Amino acid sequence: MSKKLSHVLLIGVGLFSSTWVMAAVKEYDLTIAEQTVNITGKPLKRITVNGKFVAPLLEFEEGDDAVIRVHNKLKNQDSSIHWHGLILPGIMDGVPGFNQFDGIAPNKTYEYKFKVRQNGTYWYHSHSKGQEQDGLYGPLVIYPKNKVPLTAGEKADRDYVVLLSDFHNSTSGQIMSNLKKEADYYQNRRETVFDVFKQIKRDGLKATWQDRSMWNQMRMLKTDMSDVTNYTFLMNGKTPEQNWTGNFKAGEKVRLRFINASAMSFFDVRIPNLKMTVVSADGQPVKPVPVDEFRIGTAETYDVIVEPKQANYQIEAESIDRSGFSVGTLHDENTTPVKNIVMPKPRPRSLLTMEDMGMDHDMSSMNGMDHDMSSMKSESKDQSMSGMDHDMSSMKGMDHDMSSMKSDSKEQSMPGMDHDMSSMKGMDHDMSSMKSDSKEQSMPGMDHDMSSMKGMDHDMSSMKSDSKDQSMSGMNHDMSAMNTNTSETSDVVYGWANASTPVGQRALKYSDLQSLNPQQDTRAPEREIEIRLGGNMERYIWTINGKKFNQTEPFKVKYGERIRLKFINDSMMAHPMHLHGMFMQLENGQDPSNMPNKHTVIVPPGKTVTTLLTADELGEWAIHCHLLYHMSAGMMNKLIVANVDSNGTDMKDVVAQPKTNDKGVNQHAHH
Amino acid sequence: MRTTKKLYSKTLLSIALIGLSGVVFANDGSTENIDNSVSPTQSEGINILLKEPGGLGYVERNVYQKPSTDNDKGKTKASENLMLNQNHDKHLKEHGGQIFQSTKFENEWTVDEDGKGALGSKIETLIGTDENRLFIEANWDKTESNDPKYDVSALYSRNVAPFWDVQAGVRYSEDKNNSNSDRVDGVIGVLGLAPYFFETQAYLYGGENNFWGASFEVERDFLLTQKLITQPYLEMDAVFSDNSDYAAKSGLSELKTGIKTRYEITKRIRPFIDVAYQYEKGQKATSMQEATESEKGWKYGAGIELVF
Repeated sequence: MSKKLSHVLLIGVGLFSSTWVMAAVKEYDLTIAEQTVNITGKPLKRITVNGKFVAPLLEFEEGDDAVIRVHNKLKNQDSSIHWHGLILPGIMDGVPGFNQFDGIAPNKTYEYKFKVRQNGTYWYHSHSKGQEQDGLYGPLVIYPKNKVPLTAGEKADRDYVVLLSDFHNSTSGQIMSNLKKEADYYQNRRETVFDVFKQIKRDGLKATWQDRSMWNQMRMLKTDMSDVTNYTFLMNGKTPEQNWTGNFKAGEKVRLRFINASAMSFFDVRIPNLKMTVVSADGQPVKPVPVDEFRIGTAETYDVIVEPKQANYQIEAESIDRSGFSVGTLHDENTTPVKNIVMPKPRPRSLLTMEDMGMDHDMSSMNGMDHDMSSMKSESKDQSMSGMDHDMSSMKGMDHDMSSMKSDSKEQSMPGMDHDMSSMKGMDHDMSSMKSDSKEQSMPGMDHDMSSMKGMDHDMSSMKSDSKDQSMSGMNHDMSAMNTNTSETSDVVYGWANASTPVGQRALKYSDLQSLNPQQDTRAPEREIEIRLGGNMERYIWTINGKKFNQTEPFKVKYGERIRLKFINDSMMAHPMHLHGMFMQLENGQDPSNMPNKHTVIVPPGKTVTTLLTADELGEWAIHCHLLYHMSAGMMNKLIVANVDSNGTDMKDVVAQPKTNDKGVNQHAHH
Repeated sequence: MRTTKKLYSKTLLSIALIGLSGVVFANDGSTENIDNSVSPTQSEGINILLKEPGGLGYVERNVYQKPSTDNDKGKTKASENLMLNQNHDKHLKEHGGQIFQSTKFENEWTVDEDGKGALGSKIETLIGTDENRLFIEANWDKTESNDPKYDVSALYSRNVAPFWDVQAGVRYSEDKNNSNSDRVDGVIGVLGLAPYFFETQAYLYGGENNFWGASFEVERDFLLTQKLITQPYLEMDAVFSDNSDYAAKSGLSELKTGIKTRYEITKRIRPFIDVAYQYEKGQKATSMQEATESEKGWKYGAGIELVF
């Protein structure tokens, strides 16, 4: 009897455990092939996954065993898939040349097998040449175990992926070779001689010369917001005309998982008349932040919760060079659908000069304003106050008096003052007592009296003080909702955010992000790795610490080591820097236990961003700019996390093999 | 005599070209790797691995699971490293080590003040990595009722500073109006972008018959619109010494300055008009030619530039 019982028990246990094991394995087959797709009205050969342009959504639950068989049906082309943001063994990371992964040869299959150890919104894409631009990218969502929401606030009735991407009529190979022929090949909004004449007329010859000579000596363009233009921006693979639509019922909560899967584009994302609550950044949960808009860098993800009330909303993601929108609709399914979207009006493009040099007075389209700057003066020695940039491009009916604004400075202080007032309306603006006295590369006595400003958006994001290492040591004033006096140097590192956000609206800032769960490791970093981002725009060469990937030595980190990654951007472009295999904690002014996890951080032009990293994943991890052509041009390196014996001799030989090897995870090629 | 001379110069030219191409690709990882894999030092392990189905790409994954005796452990290790390096280099190359090319072809018809026409063609190509490139330039000019003259240069171009390449190589030239005028000169110079966006090319030449000369070209783009671009330019040729039969006068032998205005229908197709002022010092008196007076005057041109 007892024997029988034990048998039953045994069978029961066996059955239970087998189903448990079975349930935990999630398998996918992905076939990469070249097919003709028609996105822009012109049939073009592009890469599809399982016959789809914009690869299919992969869904997992935390704790699953993922098995993904990738079949490469491309002709004469190796391929690969990288699981962007996932924590996994190095060989499963899918970067050719790393962790002995060598890509997937044509007509071969590679089986990716890994334990899903996290939840959130991620994506996947090719890491071979420019295949990502050509279509090999798709969303990957990992739900919490049993789809239980992490917090009550995250409980949503609908869940949509909103994947943003950029589609080009040229292939990635053509784009790269065009950029190599002429780096300004795609620059179709450069400044002309008439812009220079205008500036001379406005500022005088001397000021214009001073401004222009700096740019000319550096041989850089002010207008280089993005290297590649003529993109069609897609939302979940659909053009604005095709209008991707997410349905909801009145009263429902909707989770939108924004993924910037573009090759080269940053977006400013907004849903007019709908407040968004950011609950996750780069797949990692954050404390809720209500915003009206956010800027999403290439390869970043943000999850937002919305509670739509109207019948229709338009999701608008505008590229930061203002060349276009990715647009879709949120629609109440109980109302009649709106067929066509209304293409939103582009916001003004910001010139790089305002961000980084601050020498341009662009007041081109001011209407009916009384503007007196007659006695604005600048007493300076030694190149001080070289730049004061007032961009007031779309002010209407304002009374503006800056009559006694002055600035006394010595020795290169105050190199850039940037007042961007691009979208002010009907305001009374008195800066009469604005003063700036400063000595030796600091701005200790800057007194901004802006007490009489009302409801204005004042972005001083690129007011800066270059310290020794050219880093923005923290002079970023983002005063989007100001009623206060700002006189101190701000403590946020992140400051490049001139998105022309309308009055009274709130844009997400990096400093708003706080990890939902307290960080486990709050140790101070043992050492710092400096990562200087540079480039030669003329020849389209992009480098880390002055070297391209094919010339450089990898970064080496001890297993378990706590390090600081210091990204210093010496170039005029923003670089979304992505680290594989591990999350970095963004030093955004939050307490160490609250710092958000990020797999990609935007490093704005001329600025410094730092992150902390606990090197707790063995292997070789790519660290690179996620702008595809920057990476192709060389802006990439390898970060090796290895067990080191006390002698610490040759780290290359002691790189631990991923554990899955021992457990017999099949890494053979299938035929 | 003539044939030998011709042969001599042509041989020299071809040797130089071959040499140059060797230099350009010397740093090319793939070539090195091919050499490695066929070298007699390769281990047996690698031979086996090379023959495996699935090819080279998958080799290293099997390596770790391969049971090996103590004896060939060292060997396998060595081959393993070799394979890893090879694959690694291949992937590294895709991030900054690629080979690109840029070619510009220009065809221009000009008339001078007297209405005498001329046709000039020029092709310029740069091919290689960011650091090491081969630069080829060819010019072909024919004035009305004259025979053409042409030159071809092949230079190794080495990137030495962010905006600058140093170049060295040879130039072969011939003037069909003068028999036996073909010659080969050594060339050394720089190509790059000077501050204030001045595209600059400067060369020194030296060759047979104690010839020493220099050339200098500078141009800059001014955008009238995104597509209509005007380009002032300056070209100078100088001769320091020349004992050849068809020598030009020493000193500043030629100077041309003008404004070329192009319309970029696309980035690749660019018709242009050209107004220039040109000065030529004239020929030196030699056993084969009389001295000529210097000439100067306006030139009006129209043409097309193609980029591919």
